[in-house]
Amino acid sequence: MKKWSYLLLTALFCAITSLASAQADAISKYFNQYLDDERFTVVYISPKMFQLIQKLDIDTDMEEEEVKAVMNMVEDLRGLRILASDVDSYALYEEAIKKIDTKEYEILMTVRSKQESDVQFLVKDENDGNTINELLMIVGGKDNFVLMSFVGKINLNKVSDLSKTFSN
Amino acid sequence: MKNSLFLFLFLFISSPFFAQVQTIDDFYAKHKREGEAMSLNLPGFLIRLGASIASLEAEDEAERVALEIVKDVRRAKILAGENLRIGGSEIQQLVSDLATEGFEELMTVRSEGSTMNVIIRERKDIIRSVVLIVNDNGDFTLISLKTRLYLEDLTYLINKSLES
Repeated sequence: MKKWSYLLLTALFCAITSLASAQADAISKYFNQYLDDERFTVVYISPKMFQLIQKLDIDTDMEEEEVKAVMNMVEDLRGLRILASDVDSYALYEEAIKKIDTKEYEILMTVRSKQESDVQFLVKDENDGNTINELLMIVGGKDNFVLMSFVGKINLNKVSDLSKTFSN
Repeated sequence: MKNSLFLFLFLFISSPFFAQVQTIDDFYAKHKREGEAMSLNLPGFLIRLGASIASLEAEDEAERVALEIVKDVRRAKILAGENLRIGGSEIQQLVSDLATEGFEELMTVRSEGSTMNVIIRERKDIIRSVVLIVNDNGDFTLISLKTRLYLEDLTYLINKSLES
């Protein structure tokens, strides 16, 4: 009986760790080697920080509906990671585009500009089509490279509500 | 009866609720005597006294609220100095050791040789400890606070700051 308990616990542990690694964001997945590289600026906002923000009841100049829409969005976020550099920026941008698995990430929008930076938005979504697990922004230009990854369960309906609220 | 009371007091005082953060204590002890290190260990009454005096001079509501919150700091440990022999790997080790003591990372920023880590330990929506680590190209600062911060207090402070 004890043996079965151990086996069950091991299986449970493996399942949890594989689930956790499956939910890794694109930066820690594809650009892990740059996280300790001094040439890069690295920002990490943890899920705990987002949990705290959700609990805060902040009054702002924004109207009640706008505050609600923003907080609705924030409550879905579980982490933010930024990786930026101004060294070999366009080469890094091209590397990022090549590295990211397009089966996993779908291109949402691409902006290409000759003089300025190229920007690409990618999303990793769930099968229902209404929820995004990760929103990834890649910016590459002559002097800057930025990779920004929002992780969470971002509901597209909430994104749409937010844009409607602010456009009204 | 007397023995039970002593046992109760011992268990209560030595419970994790009042426990020191061992990782911070070890780190502090290791580096406090290094070259130009400045180390401070401030007890709660001194912090409250300082905050009370400062609040007499407070100019607005947000400042008064901030000083009220400072009064919730039970103890502060500060270690700071230039050219301390503290490398990035040691800071990473400190952060992961703190995680084993129930701390959670709020934020990490690293840019042009500078790093900042904000780490907290929370229980039942009360922030019990806050650790701030800043390493700015060799200028090192570690601030460890034992607190009893309520999220409502922080909300109130943010709202007052936004108003003013």
